[in-house]
Amino acid sequence: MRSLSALRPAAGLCPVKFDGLELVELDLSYLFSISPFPGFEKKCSAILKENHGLYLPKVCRATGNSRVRAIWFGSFTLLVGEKPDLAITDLAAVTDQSDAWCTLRLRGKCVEEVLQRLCPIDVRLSKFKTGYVARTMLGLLHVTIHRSGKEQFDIYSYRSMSQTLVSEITYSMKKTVNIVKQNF
Amino acid sequence: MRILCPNCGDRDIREFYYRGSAQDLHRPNLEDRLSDWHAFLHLRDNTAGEIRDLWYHEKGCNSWLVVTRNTMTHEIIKTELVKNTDERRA
Repeated sequence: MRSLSALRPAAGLCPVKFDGLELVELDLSYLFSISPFPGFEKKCSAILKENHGLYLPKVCRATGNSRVRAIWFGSFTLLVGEKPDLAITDLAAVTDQSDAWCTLRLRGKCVEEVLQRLCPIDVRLSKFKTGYVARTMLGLLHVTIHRSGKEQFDIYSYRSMSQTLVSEITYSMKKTVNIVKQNF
Repeated sequence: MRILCPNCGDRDIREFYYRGSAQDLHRPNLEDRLSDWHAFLHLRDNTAGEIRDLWYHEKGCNSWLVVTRNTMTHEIIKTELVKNTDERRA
């Protein structure tokens, strides 16, 4: 029998590269949503600290490192990179969303200009600091944006919308690169 | 018009979905008297002044908000998360 291998949501669409700008897909292995039951936030946070070395993030923030992180996602927290211990299901509603999200990383010199064309929020690097998270729109898509590095953003969107997501960002990258070229 | 979302900050009105009066948080129970249901459904105030409405931050943090707004001046006086108010239904 032929062995079947799963495709990433943006397989064949990424990477995209233009003069110093790069859009790549991340392979994050596990994504679990965690929403603590009312009153159990602190206990949940303590368990996450014990098992994964990170606390539950505050509103509009992320915790952790590049390997495992917890990201504020509005109505829940997304644990990225590791499977949570089943013991946490006594304290929180947990669902496996590993194949539900398309995650892209946008990095490069004029990364803020690329996002400014698409998002109705202030994404300037001076305001949107490393570790900040926002739930917003990217074109017509609902996305979560996490600034994960100096000139680097991770963008989470629905898997079903991966083609539109890549297309929107690529178009904006092209425009930005052209304008930057004209100005210098 | 802009609404100050307690989670996301100042956001454009188009990011929100409007539901209606925050009276919806005080829906009678199924076994309550018919007169309570009649009052809930039909006897509403049409205030010129401060009103409390439910808004949903659809293009943001997906939270329900209670927004206190003045219909005379269009001023938004207060925004709070429904889950942080005493009125939250179980």
